[in-house]
Amino acid sequence: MTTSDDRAADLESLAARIERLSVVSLPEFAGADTWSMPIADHCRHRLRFSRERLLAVAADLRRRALTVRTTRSMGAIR
Amino acid sequence: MTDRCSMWFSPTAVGDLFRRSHSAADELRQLLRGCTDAQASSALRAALADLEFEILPALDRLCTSTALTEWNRTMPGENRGHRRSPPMTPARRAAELLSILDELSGDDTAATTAASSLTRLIERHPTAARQLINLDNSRYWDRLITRIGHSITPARPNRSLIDSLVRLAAAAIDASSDEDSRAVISSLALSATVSPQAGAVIADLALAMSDESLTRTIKEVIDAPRPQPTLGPTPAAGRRIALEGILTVAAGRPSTAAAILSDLEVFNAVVTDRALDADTVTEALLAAMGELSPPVVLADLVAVGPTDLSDGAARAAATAVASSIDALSRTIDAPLVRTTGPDGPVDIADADAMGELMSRLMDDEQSLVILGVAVGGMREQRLERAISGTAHMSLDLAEVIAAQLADVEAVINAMTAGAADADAADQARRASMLSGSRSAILLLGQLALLAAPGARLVIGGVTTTARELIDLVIAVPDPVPTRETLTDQLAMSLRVGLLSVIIARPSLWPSLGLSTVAAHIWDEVADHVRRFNMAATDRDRARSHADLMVVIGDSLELSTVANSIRALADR
Repeated sequence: MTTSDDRAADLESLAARIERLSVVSLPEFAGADTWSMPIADHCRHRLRFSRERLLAVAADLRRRALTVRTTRSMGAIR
Repeated sequence: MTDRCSMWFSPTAVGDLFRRSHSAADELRQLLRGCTDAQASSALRAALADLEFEILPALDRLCTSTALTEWNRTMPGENRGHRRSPPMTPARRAAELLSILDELSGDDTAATTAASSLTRLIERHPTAARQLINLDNSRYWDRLITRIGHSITPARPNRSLIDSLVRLAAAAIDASSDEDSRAVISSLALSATVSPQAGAVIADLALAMSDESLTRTIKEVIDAPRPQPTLGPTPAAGRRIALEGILTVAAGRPSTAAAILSDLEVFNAVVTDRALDADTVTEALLAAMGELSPPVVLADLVAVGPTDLSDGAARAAATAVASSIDALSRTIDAPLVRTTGPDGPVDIADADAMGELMSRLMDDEQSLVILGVAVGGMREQRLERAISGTAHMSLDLAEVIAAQLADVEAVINAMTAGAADADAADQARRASMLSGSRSAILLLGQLALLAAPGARLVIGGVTTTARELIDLVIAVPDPVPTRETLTDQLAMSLRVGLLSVIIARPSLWPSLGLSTVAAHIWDEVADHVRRFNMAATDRDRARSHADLMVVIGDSLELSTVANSIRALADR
C-alpha cells in the first residue's frame, strides 16, 4: 500500500474507534429514571452534545479518508 | 422518604451510568494519548472534560446526597446496586479532581473547571477535606492550593481560578493545620500579585496568624514576582492590600511589627513602597519602635537612604527624631549624629546622611509638623530648665537661656538647611510651629539679653514661675501669616500679658513705682486687658491694644513701665 492508503486507513480506523467509544452510547443510559434533578437536563444535553460532536468528527475523518483515496485515484488516472 | 426518592431516580440506574461514565472517561483518555489528529483530539478532550467536570460530579452528588444515604440506610437490602460501583464519597471525588488537576495543569480551561468543581464540592461537603486528609495521608491542602496556585501566574491571571483559590483558602484556614496553611499562604501570596481578592483574603487572614506566619507571609508577598504593568490598577492592588493588611495587624502588635521589620528585605520593601498607605506604614514602624527603640529604627531608616523613604516612613523617621530630639540636638551639627538607645549609644548618621534625612523630612508637611511640635516641646523644656536652674542660684539668666536654647537653634538650623530650595525653605519657614518657635526663641533671646535693670526687674518680679514666662512666649496666634505680623502679635501679647500679671498683683506695684496710679485707671486697664484676651480677631485684638495704650498714656507711672516692656519686646 502507498502512503496515501496508509493515511486513509489511519483516518478510517480513528473514525471507527471514535464511533465505538462508549461515551457515544452513554445518552441511552441516561434516561428519566437516572436522575430528575435540575442539573439532569443539562447533563443529558452535554452527553448528547458530546455524542453528536464525536460522531461529526468521525464522519469528517471518513470524508477526509475518502478524499485521500479519491485524490490518489485521480492521480493514477492522469 | 422512600417513595420520594424512588420517584426521583433509580439508584441502580445511577450506579450503572456512573460506572459506564467512568469507563468512558478511561477510554477517552486512552484514545487521546495516541491521537495525533488535531481535530479529533480537540473533540475527545472536550468529551472528556464534559464527563469529568459535568457528568461525573453530578452523578457523584446523587450518589452522596443526603436523601440517597438516608434511603440506603432505611432500605439496606434492596437498593445497594449502585454500591457495586466505587463508593464515591466527596473526599474520594475531591482526590480524583485533584489528580485531574495534576493531569491538566497548564490547561486553563480544564484547570478552571476542575478547580471550580473542587470548590463546589468542598463548600458543600466541608468534612470532605478532612476525610481526604485521612484517605490520602498527605498534605492535602498543600497539593490542592499549590496546584491551583501554580496555574495562576502574573502572565496568566485567570480570574476564575483566583476566585476558586480564594474560596478554597478560606475553607482551608478552617480545616487545615498550621503546617498546611503554609502552602495556602504561599499560593495566596502569588495570587495577590494579580488579584485584589487574594490580597483581601491575606489581609483578613493576617488577624488570625502567628508572628511566624505573618513574617513568612509578608516575605512571600514581597518576593512574589511582580505582574507586568497593565492599563488597569488591579495588579498592584492585591499586593498593596495584602501588605497593608499585614502591616495593620503589626501596628497593633509591637512584637509582631518588630519580628516582621527585623527582616532587612521586608523592612526595605515596606519603607520605600510609596504605593502603601502612609498612615499604615507609619503606625507599623512606630509599633516596631516600641519594641526595638526609636534610635535603632531611625538608624535603619537612614541606612535605607533618606531620599528613598516613602511619606509614611519619613513620618516615622520624624517621630523617631522627635522622640530623641533632646539627645540628638547635641550632635545634630556634628560630623556624626548620635543618640542613646536602650543598649547604649546609637550612631544615627554622618553629617551628609543627616542632611539628606532632614531634607526628606522637610519635603513632607506632616513630618515638618512633627518636628515643629518636638522643637516646641524641647524649647519649653529647655526654658523651664534654664529658669528653674537660675531661680535659687546666682547664675546669669541670659547666659543660661542662651546656652539652653543653642541646641534648639541647632535643630532648627538643621531643618531649614534641609530645605531643598528657596520654595521649600519658605514652606519650612511658614510652617506654623516652626515660625512660632523660631520667632519666640528670637524674642526670648532678646529678653534674656536685655541689660536694662528695669526690664530685668519686670522679668524677675512678674514672671515668678517658668510656666508663666513660657505661656507668654508661646502665646503665638494662629494662623501666622508673616514673620513681621507674628513679631507684632508676640510683642502685643507679651505687653498685655505682663500688664495683666501686674494688675493681678498689687504687691508688685510699689517696686514698679505704680503705687500712685488712680483706681479708675487700673479699672480701665483691666477692662482693656480683658477685651484683648477675649478678642476673636487680630483686628479686635489690635484695637483693644491701641485703647489700652491710650489709657496707659494717661498715667506717667504706667507709661514708664509700659515703655520698659515695649523696649523689651521691640529690641
